[in-house]
Amino acid sequence: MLARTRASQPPRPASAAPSERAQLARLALDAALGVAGVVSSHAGPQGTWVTADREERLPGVLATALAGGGYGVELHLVTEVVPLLPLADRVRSRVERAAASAGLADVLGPVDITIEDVVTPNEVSKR
Amino acid sequence: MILLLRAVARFVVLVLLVALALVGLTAAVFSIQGGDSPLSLPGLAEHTRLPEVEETVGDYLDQLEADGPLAKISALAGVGAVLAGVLLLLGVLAPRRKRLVIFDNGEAGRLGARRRTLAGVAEALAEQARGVTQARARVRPRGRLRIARLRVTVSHGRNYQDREVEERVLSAISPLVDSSGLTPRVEARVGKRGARVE
Repeated sequence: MLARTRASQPPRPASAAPSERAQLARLALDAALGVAGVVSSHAGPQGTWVTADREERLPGVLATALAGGGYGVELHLVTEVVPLLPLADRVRSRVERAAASAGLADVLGPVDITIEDVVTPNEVSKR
Repeated sequence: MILLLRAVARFVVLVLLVALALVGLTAAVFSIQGGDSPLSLPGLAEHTRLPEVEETVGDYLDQLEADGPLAKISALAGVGAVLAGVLLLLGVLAPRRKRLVIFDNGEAGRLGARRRTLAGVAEALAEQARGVTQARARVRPRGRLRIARLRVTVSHGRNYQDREVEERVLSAISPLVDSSGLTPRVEARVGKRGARVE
């Protein structure tokens, strides 16, 4: 049904390339999920912690424009029982590296991390 | 209690706003015409029987000025209204409980975790300690001392000492405590009769 709806739509213009905000949200989410100890992202009880990137929704990440320019990134994560402060440092440095290699280091603001849930190794293996 | 007051305050605000909107709408409609026309403010006063109300209120105020049961009842009602107002103000102004424990808040960003999540993990870890039959944990966010506190209360069987169970629980929750910088406080007591057993 969805495919049919998409097929009937006119081709997207070239301007539909992802915005800086969406790019930043995507690379931050990918970077965070690649860190050992991070199990998944969390979209929130009402699914409000989500960034829309064209036709896709990125759960558990919000990139918001800052008054002074650039974007602040908010990550909502589910982690294992690991030291949280070092984990946050690892996530931030990985996000910064990813932003730098995408040429977005100048627009990356603070990276806020909220641990929404902590799961035990047993729960991780069930997922 | 505060949750109930907050809900009542929200309801009262909603009712008052709806009433205010209706009164404003009525006043606007009855301002369309002037003089003694049907849609004029004197017309509205007539519809709402304002002269009769004025008479009734005048009688009531006369009785209120004199000594008697009505004056006492009115004074009590006044005190009740003041108390209700104070409670509603509490419901509106009382600060919400912080759901997040903030561990770090610097230029690079903030690190926080849900209180309930941390408490749940602490309970799960504490219940793994030998001798513990039940665990309850509460996390309090940073206060003036800038320290988030984790308080764990555990029950244990009669064949264990409080002190040894507390030490085991402290050791069991150490992965969480070390990882988050929480200040733990463990209290062990013998489980009540009929409570869970190990």
